[in-house]
Amino acid sequence: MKKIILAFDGTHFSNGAFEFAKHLNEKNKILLTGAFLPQVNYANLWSYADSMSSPIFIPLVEGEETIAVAKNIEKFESLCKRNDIEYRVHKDFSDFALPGLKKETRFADLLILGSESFYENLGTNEPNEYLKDALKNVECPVIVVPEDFIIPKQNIIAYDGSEMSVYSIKQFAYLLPEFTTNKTILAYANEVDEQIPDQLYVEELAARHFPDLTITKLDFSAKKYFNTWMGDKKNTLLISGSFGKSGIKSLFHKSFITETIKEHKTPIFIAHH
Amino acid sequence: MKKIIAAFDGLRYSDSTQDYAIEISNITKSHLFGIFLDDSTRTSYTIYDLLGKEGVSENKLKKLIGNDDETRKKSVELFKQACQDAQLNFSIQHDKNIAYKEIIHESLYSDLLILNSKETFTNYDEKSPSRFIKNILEDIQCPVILVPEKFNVIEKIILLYDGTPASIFAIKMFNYIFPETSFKNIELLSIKKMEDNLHIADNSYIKSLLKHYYKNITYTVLKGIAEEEIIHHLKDEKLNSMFVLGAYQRGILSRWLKISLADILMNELNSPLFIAHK
Repeated sequence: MKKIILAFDGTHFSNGAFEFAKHLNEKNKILLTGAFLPQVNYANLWSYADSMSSPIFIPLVEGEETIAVAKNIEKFESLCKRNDIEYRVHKDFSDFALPGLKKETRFADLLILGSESFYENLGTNEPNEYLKDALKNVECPVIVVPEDFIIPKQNIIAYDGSEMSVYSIKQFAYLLPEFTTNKTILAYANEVDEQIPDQLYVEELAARHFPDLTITKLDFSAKKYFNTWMGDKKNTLLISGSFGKSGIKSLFHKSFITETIKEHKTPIFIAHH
Repeated sequence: MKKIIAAFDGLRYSDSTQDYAIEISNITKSHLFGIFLDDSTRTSYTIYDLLGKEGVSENKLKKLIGNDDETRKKSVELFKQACQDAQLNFSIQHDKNIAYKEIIHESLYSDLLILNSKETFTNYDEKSPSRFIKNILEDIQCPVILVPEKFNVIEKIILLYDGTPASIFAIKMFNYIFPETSFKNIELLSIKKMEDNLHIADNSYIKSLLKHYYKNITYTVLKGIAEEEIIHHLKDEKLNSMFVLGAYQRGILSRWLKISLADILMNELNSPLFIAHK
């Protein structure tokens, strides 16, 4: 039985994220911890970590927001009960900034982020600062889920030959085995036209976990087709490592997958360590 | 289905690696890859064996190489036969490069590595853990089970927990690789310093995680020096245990293995060790 944390973006209750948790619970029972973050956005939340060493001002949650959060908690509880999900709530949410969440994720298997802002911020100048910070501060894999979540029917593994991308394949298979039987495409996306690194090895591993696996190399010429192709194939889940030292930047900045994620609001599973 | 690799020195075939690998592949319903590390720098003979009256003898060298090839072939046959008898999905792979590098590379693309704790890949006897094992543990990309010289069916799991992220990570990885119902007896063992209290570190957090992993789990807290306390604690234990520990962290040998705990667990208790690091 997996222990999963569901974190909501500010005062917004993400139905998509809850739907995802509900779907998981239907397949295999989970323990769901609701984390209601009173801050307006995650960007603020993570930044507390750096200022821990010196006295800092944490903005108080204004009355209206407190009511909104309380309502969300109530909604969360009733939805969990109705759907037969075992749950916990962190009611003492004002303490739930870092390092609270960091520790919570250390003892959890997966963090679900219900976040529209993630998708909205993609492709802008500083697209993923907040996600990068989030990843720095969590100790379990993360899945970002859009508001209008549809149960994924196929997976795309973004493979770049890095340790992280292989790590994410393994973690995904351990944590979300219910999705591994879906049609899966392992896509090697790189600007340089070269062979897929360690193709035999990655094939040997991925094929054990994903019975319906296709391996494909996407070069730049595929760019314009990829988006259209994704358009035809809705309900996709993207699996990605945090792409080495340069962070997920390379994935989102340089890779054309960004456009696709943004346009189609693909749920994205990210594991790093 | 998972991918498990078992690493063998073809010149010194380890029966216990074979037996543990088969047992664990069965429990986890995995595909077993026997990796035979035919490292070209590894020979059964030394340079002195080649010396004859006329210096290095070509014939002698040929014969010795032939012998080694023969031994390696036999090892592969043994593995093949054992896997067939156990009706496992298995593959055999030969790697001619430097053993250490090959294992690290293979481990990235595997779910679990099984390796004899006495493996050295040299002719020399080394104090355990050998340099080879130490290097492997530092750079490995998947969890590893170090197995002792003698095979015993695993009946009990002891999760060594000290509150560090590394030990929690190991507990999670163990849970991901072994189905939750694989073992009936699971114990969380925490050893604290004399001056500490008897509370488990982050008690409510770890219990909330483990409660959902395992239905029957016992918690034990001991005080004192880890190796002494563990030996003492397991003195009357009838079940064969496997220890789960998050020991080696990149660059730093953590508390668990800095002291000779690993040796003691393996030598005195004849226990396999499941080690994972982030």
